[in-house]
Amino acid sequence: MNPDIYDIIDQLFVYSSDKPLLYTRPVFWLLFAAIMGLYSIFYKKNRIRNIYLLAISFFLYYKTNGAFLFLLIFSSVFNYLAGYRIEESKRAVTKKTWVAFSIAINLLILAYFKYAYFFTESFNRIFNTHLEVVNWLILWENHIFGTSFDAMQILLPVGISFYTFQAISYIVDVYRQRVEVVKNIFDFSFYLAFFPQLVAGPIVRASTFIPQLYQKYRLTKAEFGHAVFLILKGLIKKIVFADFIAVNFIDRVFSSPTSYSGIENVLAVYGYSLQIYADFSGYTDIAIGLALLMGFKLPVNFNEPYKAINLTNFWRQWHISLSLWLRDYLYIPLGGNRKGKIRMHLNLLTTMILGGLWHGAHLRFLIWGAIHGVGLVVDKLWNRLSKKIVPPSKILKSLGVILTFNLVTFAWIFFRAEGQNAINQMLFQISHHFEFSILLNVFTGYTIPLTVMILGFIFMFLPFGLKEKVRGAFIKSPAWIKLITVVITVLILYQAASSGLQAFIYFRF
Amino acid sequence: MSMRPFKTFLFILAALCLLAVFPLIAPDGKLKIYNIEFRIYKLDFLIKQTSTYLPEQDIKKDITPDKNVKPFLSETAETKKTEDTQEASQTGIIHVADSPPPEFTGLNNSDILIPASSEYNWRELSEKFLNAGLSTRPLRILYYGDSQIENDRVTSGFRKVLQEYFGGAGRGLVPVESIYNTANNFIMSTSDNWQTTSLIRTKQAHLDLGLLCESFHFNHPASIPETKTNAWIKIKSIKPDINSGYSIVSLFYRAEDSSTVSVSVDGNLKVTKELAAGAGINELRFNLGETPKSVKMEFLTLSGITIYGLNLESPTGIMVDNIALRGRAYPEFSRIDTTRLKQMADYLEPSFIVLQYGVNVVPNITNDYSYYKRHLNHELSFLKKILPRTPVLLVSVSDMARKVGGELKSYPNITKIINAQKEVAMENGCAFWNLFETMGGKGSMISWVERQPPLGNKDYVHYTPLGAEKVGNTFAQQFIKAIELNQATASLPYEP
Repeated sequence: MNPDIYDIIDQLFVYSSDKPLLYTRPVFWLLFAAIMGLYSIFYKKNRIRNIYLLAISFFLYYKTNGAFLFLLIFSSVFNYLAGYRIEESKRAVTKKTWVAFSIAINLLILAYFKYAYFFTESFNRIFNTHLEVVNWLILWENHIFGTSFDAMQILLPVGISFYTFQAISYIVDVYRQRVEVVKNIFDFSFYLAFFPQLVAGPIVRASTFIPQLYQKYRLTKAEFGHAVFLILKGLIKKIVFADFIAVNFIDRVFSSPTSYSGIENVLAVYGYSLQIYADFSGYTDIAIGLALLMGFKLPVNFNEPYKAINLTNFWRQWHISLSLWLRDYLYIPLGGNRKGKIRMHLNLLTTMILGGLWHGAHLRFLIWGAIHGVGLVVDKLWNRLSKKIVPPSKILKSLGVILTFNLVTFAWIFFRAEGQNAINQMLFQISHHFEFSILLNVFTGYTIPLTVMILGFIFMFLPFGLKEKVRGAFIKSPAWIKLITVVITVLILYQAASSGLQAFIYFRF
Repeated sequence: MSMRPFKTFLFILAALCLLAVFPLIAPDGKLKIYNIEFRIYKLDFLIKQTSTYLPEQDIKKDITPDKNVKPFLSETAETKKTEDTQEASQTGIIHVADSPPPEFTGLNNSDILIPASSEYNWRELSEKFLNAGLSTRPLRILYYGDSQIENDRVTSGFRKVLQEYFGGAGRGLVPVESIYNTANNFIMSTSDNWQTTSLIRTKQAHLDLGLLCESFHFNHPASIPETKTNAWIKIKSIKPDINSGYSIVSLFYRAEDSSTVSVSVDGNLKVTKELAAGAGINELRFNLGETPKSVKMEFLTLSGITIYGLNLESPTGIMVDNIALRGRAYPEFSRIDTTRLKQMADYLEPSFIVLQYGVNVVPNITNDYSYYKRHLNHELSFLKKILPRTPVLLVSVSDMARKVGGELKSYPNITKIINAQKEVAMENGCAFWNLFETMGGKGSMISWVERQPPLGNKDYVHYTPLGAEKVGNTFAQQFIKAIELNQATASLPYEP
């Protein structure tokens, strides 16, 4: 056989930690074409369709995550059984005990893989010990299967934060009788592992997803057009407005803030604001589009968040599935707004801080969550007060958008920076070495990345109606126009992906 | 109207087939439409892995730093070190020669090359370093480089290992004000009436600078002739560690007349001193006894003061000065006033000089690097006139990559530049260390960037602080090895 063929086979079927299967890689689309090809044989019978897609999902998960597939399978089996026990138990106490037990197990697994370093380091710092983390899962697997994965470090299994939250929502919903217990273990595993949303969301609720498992495959022409549009939009966001500006400008500033003047640091922070939105929402656009092509509907996850007029609205428009999850399974159980104003504010703050820590195990995520928590409390207070003082107006709304966007952007510093030291350096350069006079030089030096950034912001702030018109036109267009659009888009994306690296530039000679 | 999965399959297939046509009609990777050139992928791009780079050479696994990076000295050596230091404080002697030789951590170890012509100087250097405790002033390594060493990168790891091994604390020479080369463990703030002259901001020659290649002055404004005006500098430690654990602050200055400096430590005024007026550089030393949380120096003058650098050091041990000149291809000592350099060198008596340049030469690809050799030669012979007996070492350019047709590749001209650097080093009796080899050779920067945590920045040129720390550590180990090796051969007859 041709060595290239081996290479493809290798890429398609063998796990390699440095070659995850990403949507931005052409090989994924070859694979997806094959998946759809086979799907056209299996899609008619729900049971076979679900098992087929589950097998595909497990396979793709293995491709990105190797050994951690076992953890996903364990999670599926455990939560499936737990759901059953909750449903079958007659006594309220038994039900509650099972709910508590299964949530605890889910959180412990998450905590172990996500926060082991955080806790160990904090413990070591406080008690001056030298404890080290050990990856028990890997030890066990090495023992059973004779493999030799590194057990001295805990890597974060991809998607664990997302599928754990999905599992918890299922357990609680079964208990609250919002969703019927899933009878078939394959169906339940499919709910946790369905590949489009597995790695980075949206966080799908059992109550909206499980019923789809029993519905017949259906995809209207308009939905097809919408799916293709979403996938193209997602790819553009990811490759141009996230990866391109990251590699050519933002990453370098964040990894070495003191090599850049304050103005460059500020530009990088705003750039990151665009990058994270384009990256994250682009990813979910693709996920929603892929799922739709297979006949499944995932919830909308981003709704023009930077146009939000206040922080409360921001969280209704940013990573919506997470906000709703936090509301339903954390904020409301904490008491929500039912126990007085002070408790409400406290609950809000707690929710946001824990929500911050969910993004990663580091003090800076806690600070990020706290900024948003405090911001939300202030927002709530101001909302009540402002109604009495100033009548709502367009100017006030615009001011709200500007203020919210800037606050969110400021908070991203803590989200993105590589450590407390880098945060300090960044703020120091901004406050001490701003060097406004070199702004023009910066623009001439970084013309392309900065132009792309500006374009990104322009697209982002274009009126919703206009964007909808473009989407509508695409959906209505005949298939051959869609095809040509796809081809042209890919060619343009290749220009961005293959462009030379921005040379390093020094200002202020 | 509904769509069956088969139609979706056909749609994706059609798109992929159409996309496969382009590389066939443009096999050279370029397609011109209305004067705009589009890059076209090769057919195998659709199937081949291109986003993640496959290193041409497998880098040793133990480069991965994370928590596997053990402190340079083993625990026993560390304990021994503490005892040694305690003893040293009583006798003033540090017996470092008894310490076990350093372990080598990661990286391909490329030895320091020492030309035969400078073996004598190296033997002298060995003697000095192995008796570092006997010296009345710390032994000084001037480490010059380009943006690759900005922010104390590389030098920080280099200094840390050497100071742990030979003793000493403190960051060494620092500029009064620096926009890009901010220190990591202390914050410097100044009044806003200082003016900076820097080698990298002017093309002029005969510059009034010292060894730091920067000077800072403030002038008494002519409009108010009668009263003295003041300017200040404040250093605040934020992260007490070995790099900031200085107890001596010294000041290199030139004052015209009737000027004073008042030093406050942690907010309390300690001393006020006259600055000796004169045409040459003077040094004023303040022994603070311990590392201060903050030091403030306030200057009062009738005419003007020029500062050639502050020096934060310990009474003995090793000092490594980071002197980063961004955008330079070679150190341009010859543009500095010779007398000034000599005056400052007389005070500091540098024992060793490191020059690390080259990343600014790489982007201009040519076949002939004789122009570069000429410049380097010129600077090295100039340096030799000022510090004739101080051994100099050239660090080769590091690996760096660019994107060609969407694929990351090392620059093709790096080996040529390294050869030029090596030849110049050997011709001038300078030692040479091949950093490119140490990193793993061709393509190594790409894997350094992709490593978790990353060792290289996304510009594929500069190191991350972690990568720089690695390089600094390894270099220091090589340096110590060379020092000990030269001591071992010290019994051979000298050939001065």
